Amino acid sequence: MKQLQLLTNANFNIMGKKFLFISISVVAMAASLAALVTRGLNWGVDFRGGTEVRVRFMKEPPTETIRKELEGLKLGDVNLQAIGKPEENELMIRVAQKEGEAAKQEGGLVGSGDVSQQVLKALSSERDRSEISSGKIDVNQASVGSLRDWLDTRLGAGKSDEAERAAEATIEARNARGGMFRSLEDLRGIASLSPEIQTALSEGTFVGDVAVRSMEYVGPSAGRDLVRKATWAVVLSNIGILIYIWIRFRFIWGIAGVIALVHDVVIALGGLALTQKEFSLPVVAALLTIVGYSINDTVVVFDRIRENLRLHRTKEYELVVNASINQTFSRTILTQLTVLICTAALYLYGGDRLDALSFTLLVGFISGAYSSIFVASPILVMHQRWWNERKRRKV
Amino acid sequence: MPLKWRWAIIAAVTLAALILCYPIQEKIKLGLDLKGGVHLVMRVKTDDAVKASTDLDLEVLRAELTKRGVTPETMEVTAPGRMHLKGVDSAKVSAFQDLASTQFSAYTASSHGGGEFDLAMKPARVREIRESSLRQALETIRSRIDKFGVSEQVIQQVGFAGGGDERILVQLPGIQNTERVKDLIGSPAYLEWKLVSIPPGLRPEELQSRCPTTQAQILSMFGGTLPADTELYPAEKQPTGGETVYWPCKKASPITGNDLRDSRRDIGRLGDAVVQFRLTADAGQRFEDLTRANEGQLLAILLDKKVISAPRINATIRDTGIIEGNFTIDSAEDLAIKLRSGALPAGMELLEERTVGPSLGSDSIRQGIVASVLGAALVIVFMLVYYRLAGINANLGLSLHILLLLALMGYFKATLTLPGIAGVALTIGMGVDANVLIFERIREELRLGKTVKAAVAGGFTKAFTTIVDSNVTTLIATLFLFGYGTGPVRGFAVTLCIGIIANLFAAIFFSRAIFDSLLTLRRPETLSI
Repeated sequence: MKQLQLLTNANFNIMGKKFLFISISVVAMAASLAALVTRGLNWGVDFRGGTEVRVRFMKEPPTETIRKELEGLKLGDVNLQAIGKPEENELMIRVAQKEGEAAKQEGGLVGSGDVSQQVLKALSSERDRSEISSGKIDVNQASVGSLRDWLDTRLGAGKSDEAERAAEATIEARNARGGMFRSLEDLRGIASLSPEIQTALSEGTFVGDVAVRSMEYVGPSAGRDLVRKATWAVVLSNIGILIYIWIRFRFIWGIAGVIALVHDVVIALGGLALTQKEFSLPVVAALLTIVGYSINDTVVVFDRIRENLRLHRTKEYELVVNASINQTFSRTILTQLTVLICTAALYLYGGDRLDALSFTLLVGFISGAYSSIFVASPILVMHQRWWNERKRRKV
Repeated sequence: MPLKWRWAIIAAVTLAALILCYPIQEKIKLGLDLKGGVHLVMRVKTDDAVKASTDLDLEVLRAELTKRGVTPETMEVTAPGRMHLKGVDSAKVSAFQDLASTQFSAYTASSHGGGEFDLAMKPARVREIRESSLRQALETIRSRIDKFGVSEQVIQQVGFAGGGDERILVQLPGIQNTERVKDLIGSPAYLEWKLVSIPPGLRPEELQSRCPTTQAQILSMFGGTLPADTELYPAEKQPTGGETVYWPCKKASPITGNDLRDSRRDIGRLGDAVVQFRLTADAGQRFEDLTRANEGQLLAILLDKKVISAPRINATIRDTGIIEGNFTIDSAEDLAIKLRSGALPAGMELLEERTVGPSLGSDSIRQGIVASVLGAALVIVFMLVYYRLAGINANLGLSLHILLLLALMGYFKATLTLPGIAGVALTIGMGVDANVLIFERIREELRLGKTVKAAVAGGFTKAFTTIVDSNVTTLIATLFLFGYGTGPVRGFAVTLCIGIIANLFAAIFFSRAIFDSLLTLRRPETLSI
């Protein structure tokens, strides 16, 4: 039986073209930095502070009307973005922190939800508003508590338990329908509701055009704190890695590894700046995973270099490094492939909430595979050459 | 180690893992981003408590100084924990210093000369006040939240205690009504009873029928100026669109929330929701005296300096009474809870608020699982095609890896978050890395012409250091991710970290046992790898 092989006898002269590869990296890093400077990162609510409301509409959302309405409220910078699959009619509404918002917050906890409540009010259609003013309640916006209270007063005394159960069953049914009832017909399908409750619901409720999927508010000081923590996490993990490689290998190898790391993180950041994908907490997690994974890849190559250096003490350094890279080539490609398969699956099928995270991983992993071969090892060779040169001069 | 032993360990580990993660729905907790719920982070303004304590100390100091005949020109609190005194009579300076050093030892006094002094609260005392107000805030919030009856709620302190950066994290799975939660935990809930000042020439019931009214109207009722013992307090329910309305009340509060023994929601005479309260024995006596002396008058009930209602005193009340105020069932329940749990010692600032609806959460779970399963399936096929029979070995290892990952997550009570699912998907991809390293080494050894047995042994030994080095460096990054991360980032770090450990067992120990068993049982001449 013949083995299925991939580059098993690879013999690329990578070190011969090391300046070419390093130039590619330098250009890619420069482009990333340029993107970061010119376009900047699209800071998410985690870091920027502000309010984010994600809603689902019955029909295609009237974006322009909503925008005008929200701008009329003067809440601050408003940003609307369609999100998820087009047929789901979902909209992400972001309201930036207004100047002086922090000072207003001093009053305490209550009041911070104002923005989200105002946004919700602005979203409701003419029809929804007239239904509400006629005393009906919106089953797409109701919570278990509000529905229970409403049923409680409607059913009369002694039926609190039944009202509670019915409210729970209704909201559960709504969740099963993606968080939104399409019509009052949907309510009739809930088997556990008694005829009395069914009547109450169909007489006194209506199906609103908007359902809330999530709501987030981050205060201004929290954002700064998160940026600080994230930066420390990246910096300290780099130092930790540097020390480990220093102990297990040599100091300069650690430096080379960390340079490769910084390279990958910068390129991933550049990718984020270029695509303007939202920079959120999960993206920070992705960046740190890139740190971990990139160094993992580099260390595998380093390990082989170290082993070969011991075996072939007389051979030229550059040749040994080149041979080591070629020997680990098939492993690098295979592992990269499996990781890329999984990350690509995550990017394509993981849903929009994992979109920025999996995109960052994808860019970082590709860059990481490149840097472990074409950046970290050439640095070792160049350093060794400089070292030999210095020794020769001294002698 | 003999093969028999190794298989015994593997069997034991697998069995333990199965027990640990069965049934999976109960063993692995879902994060709020998947389950839906409310997540709040608040900063307790412990400065407020320090300030309040300084204010109180200043009053005590003023009284003590007056007793000793020392009357400085000005005495004021300049900052939390700081007082400034000016114009202390030069003859009384030593008397002041004596008092400051004996009875005010919690402060350090420094003289600026000319009878000017600064008093600064000692750091130890400041820290003590901060810590105790934080503890009290935690307790108050906990007892208020307990009434929600939410299982798996999280109420904990985060950040450093005593440093003025204390935060409280509250997580309530399954709750969507953020406004109610915020109102319940955020309100200071300071309850007071105050007699209403009746303008001259007006009968209490006349005022009751007119009030609440605007500031200007009340002033004109009193003929332009309020009596010295009277202050205006806003009504809790304000008319929509109109001017703010007030009640004129006496400044003194004969009964406060501290006098409460119990409070609960009840149904009033008209079938409306009310809050029933009971007073302590001592306060009950005072309440009795107060109501007897003021029958027919109005008694205002204030919550956080706002008048909820001002009922007429119809009869002497001893230790129980009701608070009426157009409550809904929920708001009556909430007020009863707030009163039962006591007042918050300091204000709180909301730093973060996140609400995820359960439908969004379950969508995310579905998509995450689809992506993970798809990724795993592709990797499994890929390994089978590429390594053939050895691929089966790798895939068995991968299955064990996933099982161990779930079991360890269950054991450590780790919470699965959305990024955590991404972490699972990722470890599936990275999981085969150790197998690939080993298999590639075995192939190399085979190419060098070694026997199957020697190639397998060589492959494992040589790949071992690489695997350890590369995984330890990844672990270092993961640990920092865990240490500095919050919420979902931590969830991601936990899955990744556990994934790496599970992977080492599956790829090195388990995979080796399979190879060795195969070699002992079959003694093959070639290896399908």
